[in-house]
Amino acid sequence: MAEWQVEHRADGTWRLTRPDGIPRTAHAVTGPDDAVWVHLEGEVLRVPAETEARARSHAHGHATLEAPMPAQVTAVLVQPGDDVAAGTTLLLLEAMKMELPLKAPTAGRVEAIHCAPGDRVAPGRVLIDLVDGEATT
Amino acid sequence: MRKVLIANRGEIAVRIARACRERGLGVVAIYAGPDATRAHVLGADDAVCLDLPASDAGGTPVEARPVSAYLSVDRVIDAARQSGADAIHPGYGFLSERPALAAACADAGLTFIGPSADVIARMGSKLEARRLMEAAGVPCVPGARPEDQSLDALRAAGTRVGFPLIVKASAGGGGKGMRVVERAEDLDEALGAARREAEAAFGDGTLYVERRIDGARHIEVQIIADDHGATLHLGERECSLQRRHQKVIEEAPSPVVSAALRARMGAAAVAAARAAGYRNAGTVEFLLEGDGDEAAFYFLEMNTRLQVEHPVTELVMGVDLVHLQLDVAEGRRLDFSQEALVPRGHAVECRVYAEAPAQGFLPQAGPVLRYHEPQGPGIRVDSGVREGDDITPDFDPLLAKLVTSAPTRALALARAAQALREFVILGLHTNIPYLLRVLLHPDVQAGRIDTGWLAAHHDPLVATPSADDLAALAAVAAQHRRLPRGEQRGGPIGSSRGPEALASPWVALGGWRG
Repeated sequence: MAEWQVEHRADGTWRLTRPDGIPRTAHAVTGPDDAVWVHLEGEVLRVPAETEARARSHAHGHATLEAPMPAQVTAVLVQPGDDVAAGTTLLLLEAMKMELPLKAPTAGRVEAIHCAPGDRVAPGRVLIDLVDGEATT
Repeated sequence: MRKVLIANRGEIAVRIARACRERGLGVVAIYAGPDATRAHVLGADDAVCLDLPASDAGGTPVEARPVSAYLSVDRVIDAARQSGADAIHPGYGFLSERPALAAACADAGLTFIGPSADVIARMGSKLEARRLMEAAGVPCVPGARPEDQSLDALRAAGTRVGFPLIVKASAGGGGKGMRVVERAEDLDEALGAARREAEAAFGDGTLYVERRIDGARHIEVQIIADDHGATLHLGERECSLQRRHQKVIEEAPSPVVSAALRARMGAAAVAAARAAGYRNAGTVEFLLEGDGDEAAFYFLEMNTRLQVEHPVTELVMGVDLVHLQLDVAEGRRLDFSQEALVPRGHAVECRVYAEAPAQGFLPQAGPVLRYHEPQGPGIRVDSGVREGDDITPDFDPLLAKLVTSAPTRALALARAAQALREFVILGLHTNIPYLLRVLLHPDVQAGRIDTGWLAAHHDPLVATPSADDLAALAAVAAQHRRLPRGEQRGGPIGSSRGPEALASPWVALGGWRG
């Protein structure tokens, strides 16, 4: 399935599109406890603040990759110190009997891995720290 | 009647206030604890705080349980006097079925918008109600109601009725003092537990036993009676989709009630209301076994008040039940005939609760960060909640009722599903995803439901979103986190957000594939 493209609209809502599908509208808001709430056509996801605190603790040029949903880690395909190209599959998750590859959003170096095969992870849990390509050169 | 005190809160208080205003009646709200800024209070002409003064409450400014203020007959009557109200509408729940409020109104010279105290008391005793119904020829669930209330006599009665059976408390309601018994050897324990629970909850341990009818539907008939001898029924509501005796989705008409069966059940409901000497709006609940013109049905109980699910009747019968209640309370004549009351089209109500289905339906509390109701043809939302409200665990978790109507059942269901998808409530979990799964299930679409259906289909109904939806939700969450912090909290949907919000480019997601 193709990736969702996400666009922030002037009215504050989010528009999700992908080449093979009908556009969808989502609503998101951050609560006083820094959890993000997202609504998409009757489904709701709450992503706790933990993720954000974690991300903020990193210097500029670092990225963290989070579990997007309750899932099980089935394989970790990289090691700390590995240099990876954008799009490299870093690990595999399984949720709802579907395999979900977690890929590097940018080229960079794997700084740390915070999960192991077999781990059950909650949405927002940080799985990998990545130092992006520009920061390493 | 000039000014009506609404002895309730939330969506029903808002809905009753609207009807009062439509007639030019003044509206008085009551509130307690955290309710001071809720919709039902802000929309009233007058609002009376029922919290005890700090000195009376042992030095604490707010009572431990704000719900107790709404349950105080004395404070409600005082509030009416204080505000110059000359009538009280009890809504549902709280004091609506306490004979004490109706009696206190009569004593204070206030109009109680509902039946008299003695009718409420009579129908409130399940046992007395059933004796009355049997005498009036209204069929009741086969069971035994021994005068001798010893455990021995109850055990013998249970054995005669046979298993599975249900032990019920005469004063019962809301599932309290009720036990399902599958086997004879479990009867003693169930009788003991039901008696203790009934004594604790109602101060009355009187029990009776009934056969459990498996696969039955919960069908209830709306009735209305005036002071001039008219007692009419307004057709049935199908309320079989219930979880632990709490209704979740209701519809009118029932997908299995034929015109002939409707006439039979309606006549039984009217006979029940006449036997009780009933005035104003009420509901007679039945269990329906099977379908077709000759299906068997049994009296369950009579509710002497407006029901939560009254809108579905309004939408298919073309009436306004609160206005009819006010008409009857003012001594007017009901100016339509039974023959004119024929359901048209179909209506569905979904109860939106602040609860987390995936966590055992745990009631949820929290701030309403986003609240956006669906709109469109055939969509009605009865709500007591606004964006910015703080939902506390003090009260019933019902937030709003989404009611849709359409020419056909299929369209009413589709309309409800689409409206649920557009109903945005963020900041606390609600049962909206659960309601959607229920509505879209083939059994519900086909009308193949009974009172055990929700329990039997629990697991798929509380499932998490599909992997594809989760990927999309997570993608939005990730992008939302990248917004400036002020903008993440933002204003209501559609509010102006400044030019930087417009500058946001298309952003490709970082590698998530569903």
